[in-house]
Amino acid sequence: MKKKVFILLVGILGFIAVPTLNSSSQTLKDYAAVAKLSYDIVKDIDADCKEKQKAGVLKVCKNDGCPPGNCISFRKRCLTPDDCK
Amino acid sequence: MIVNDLFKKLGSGRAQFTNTWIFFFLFSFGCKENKSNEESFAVDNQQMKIDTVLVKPLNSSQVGFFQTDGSTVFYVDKLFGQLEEFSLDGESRGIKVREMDGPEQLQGISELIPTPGGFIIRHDWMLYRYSKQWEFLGKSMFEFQHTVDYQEMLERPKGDYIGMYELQTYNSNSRYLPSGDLLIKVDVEHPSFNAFISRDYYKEARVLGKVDIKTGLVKEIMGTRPASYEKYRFLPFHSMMDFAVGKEGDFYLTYEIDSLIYVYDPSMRLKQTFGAEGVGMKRNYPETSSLEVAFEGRYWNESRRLYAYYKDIYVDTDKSLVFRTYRQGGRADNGYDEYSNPLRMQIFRNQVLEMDVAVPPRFRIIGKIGTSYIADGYFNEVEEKQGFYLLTYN
Repeated sequence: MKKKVFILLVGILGFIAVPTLNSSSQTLKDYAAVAKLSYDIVKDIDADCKEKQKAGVLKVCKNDGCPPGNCISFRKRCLTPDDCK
Repeated sequence: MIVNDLFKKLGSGRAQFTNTWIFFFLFSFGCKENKSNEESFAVDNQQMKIDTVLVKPLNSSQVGFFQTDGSTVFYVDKLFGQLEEFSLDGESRGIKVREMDGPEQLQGISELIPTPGGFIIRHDWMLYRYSKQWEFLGKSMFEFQHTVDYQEMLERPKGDYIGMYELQTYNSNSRYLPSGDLLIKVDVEHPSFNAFISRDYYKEARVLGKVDIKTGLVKEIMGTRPASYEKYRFLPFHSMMDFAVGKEGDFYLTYEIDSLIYVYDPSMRLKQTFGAEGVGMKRNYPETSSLEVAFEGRYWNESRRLYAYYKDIYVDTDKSLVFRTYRQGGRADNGYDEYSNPLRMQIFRNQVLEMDVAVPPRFRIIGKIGTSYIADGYFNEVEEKQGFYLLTYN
C-alpha cells in the first residue's frame, strides 16, 4: 500500500515538474539568444546610429512599446511596436 | 451592523439562509453597477469632493489624456493627433492644433507642457513651441550631449556621463522651470550600467535632466535614487520616480518603493523628507538577477498590475498641500494593465498625512483652476465617454 502511494506521489510530482523544467530551460535559452543578439547590436553599432539618434528616429523595444532610445542602449532596435513581439 | 439587525428581523434557520443569498445577490448587483458606471465614482465628505466633468470631443479614439494650463482644460487625443480645448464645465472651444497641420509638421503629441508664454508639445524627443494663441514658434530635439569620448562611455560608464541617458517615457511628466528650462525624467540603459545588472546604477544614475528648450540640449542631469534601494539588489521594474516643482522652485521627488517624499532646493540640495506608508501595499517585489528579463514584456506588465508602488505627486505650495497617489497591488486574475491595480491618494498638509483615500484608476492631478484641482482622467471605451475630474479639498 505504502509503495503504491509513493509511486502515485512520484508520478504526480513528475507530471507537474517535468513540463515546468522544460519550459524554463526553453525560456532561458530564448532569453540568452535575444540577449546575445542585443549585445551584438550594441557592439557593432550601425554607422549611422548617432545620426538616427540626433534625428529622433532611433527607437528601441521597451515596456511593450517602441520609444526613442540612446545608441548605447542594450535594447533591441525597432521601427514600430510590432517589431518587438 | 445594519445587515445583522435586518437578519434578526427576517427570522432564523432556513429562512435566514435564503435571506443571506438574497442579500448576497443584491450586493453583487450593487457592486457590478458601480464598476460599469465609473463616472459615478464620488468622494463627497466635508473635507473632500471629487466630481467628473464629461466632455464630448469632436473626435475621440479614447486613447488620450487631459492637461491644464491653470485657466482651461485640454484633451489630447493621441491617435487622432489633435488637441481640443474645453471650459471647466466641459464645453468645447475647438481644436487648437493637430498633427501634420502647417509648416511645423507636428508628428504627434506625447505630452503637453504649459509655459508662462504658451505651450510646448513634446512628441518623442522633439519639442514644438507655441504661443498662447497657438502660433508655431519653433522646434528642437533632445540632445544628450557627450561630455566624454563614446568609447570611454561604452567601456567605463559613470553616472554623470550625460551622453548615456535617454528620456524616461514611462509616466512622463516634463515641467517648465522658473529658470526657463525644461525638467524631464531620464533613464540610462547602458549594457553594463542599468537597473537590471548594475548596483552602481542605483547609487549613481541620475533621474532628472535639465533641458534648454530652444536647442533641446540636455545640459545637466541630477538626482539619484535614495538609500532605500540598498535593501534590494535589482528592482528594474520599480526604479521609477515622479516629481513636482513647488512655487519657490523646490523639487519634490517620490520613488516607487519609498514611502518618503524628498524635498530638494533648486540647487538639488536635500532640504527635508516626510511621508507615510500607504494602506495594504503588496511590496514583496521579486528581485531580478540578469538582463534577460528585460526582453520579456510580461515581467514589466506584472510589475505594473500586481505590486504596490508610489506614483504621482502634486504640490500646492500656497495651501501647504502635497498629493501623492500609490497603487496597492492588484490581483493576478483581474485586468490586463496598470489600471486594474487599485489606486489611492495620500494628502499631506504641512508634511503631515491628513487623508488617505481610494481614487479612480487613472486619477492624476494635473493642475489647479480657481479652488479646484483638475485630474486626468476618466475614459470608458465601452460607452465611449471621457472626462476630467474636479477635486475640491478644504
